[in-house]
Amino acid sequence: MSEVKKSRMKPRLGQLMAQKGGMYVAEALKRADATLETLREPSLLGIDDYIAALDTLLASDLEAGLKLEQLYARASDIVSLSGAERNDAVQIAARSLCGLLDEADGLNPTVLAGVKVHVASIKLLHRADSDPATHRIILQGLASVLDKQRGEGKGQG
Amino acid sequence: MQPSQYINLDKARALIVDDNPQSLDILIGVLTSFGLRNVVRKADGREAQEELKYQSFDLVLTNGDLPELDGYDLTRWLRREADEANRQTPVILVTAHTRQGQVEKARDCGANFIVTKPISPAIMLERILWVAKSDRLFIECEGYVGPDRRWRNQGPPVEFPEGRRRDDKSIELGEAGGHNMSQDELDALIKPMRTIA
Repeated sequence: MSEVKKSRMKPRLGQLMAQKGGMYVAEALKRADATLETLREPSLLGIDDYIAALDTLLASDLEAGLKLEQLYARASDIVSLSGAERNDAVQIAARSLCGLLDEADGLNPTVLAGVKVHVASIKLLHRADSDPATHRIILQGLASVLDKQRGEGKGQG
Repeated sequence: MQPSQYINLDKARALIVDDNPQSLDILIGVLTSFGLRNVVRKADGREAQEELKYQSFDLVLTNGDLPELDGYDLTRWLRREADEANRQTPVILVTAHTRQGQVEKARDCGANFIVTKPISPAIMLERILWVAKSDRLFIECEGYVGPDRRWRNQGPPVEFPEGRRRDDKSIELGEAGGHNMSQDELDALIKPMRTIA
């Protein structure tokens, strides 16, 4: 059995944070929320760009493996900026797309159809103030797309 | 984390790594709102690695998915091969989605925490407070180098009662629900077979 060495972590960060000065946690969070508010519109514009990039990728004749990787990267980018949305539906839809692409065994017609459904749903949910019940129906649809692919994957495996 | 708690990040130095420039802006925006002034931003793992070779940091925040050298491999390198000044630096990994093939890599890389995107200021600040105050064991063995991953199984960290899982039972024992049991009753609970026999 290999030797295990244990030591106690004493991060310098702890000593620095305990020094006099600074601010209350409540103030820090208030400032952070204000900062995120200033970044909201640029983030929403960023999501616009990533949705357009997904469409461009789907229409492109890029090699399938590379296309899959780039679709995954753009879906991840949408998740990263989705905090700017007024609700978490875009985040859930984009993460579901990441899952679909990560678990896909190549870009076969079924996977491509699933990706298109996800992109269409993200477009519907992006900047949308529609009621949560509508979001729920859309997200349930996406969950069933993912479940179907997982089922097919198991069947093949 | 209490709203009235004081934090001071004035003198801390952080390395923030993300290949998505807008996501990097969000991370840095949130951290500077917390009072962190000394921030080095990098867009890929190799550049971050170079920075870590020559500069010491108090906190590293890195995206998991990065071109060339990803955040998991960067953290693994930091824990095993970096200069002594940085080897135990708290690392918080952020990720939009963890690929199935990277779950074990994420678990074993030696990060203090993995936080999912989009970034929530409250969660990020809470994790920073945890890594700053924690005195978790640092484990070095052949298969793993990093903070002890079993701390949650050892009961709640005394200094962070809020760090407990939501479904953990209360730390408070409270009043007894009935009379004290006799020794015979306790024996019967521990060795019921003897009673039956």
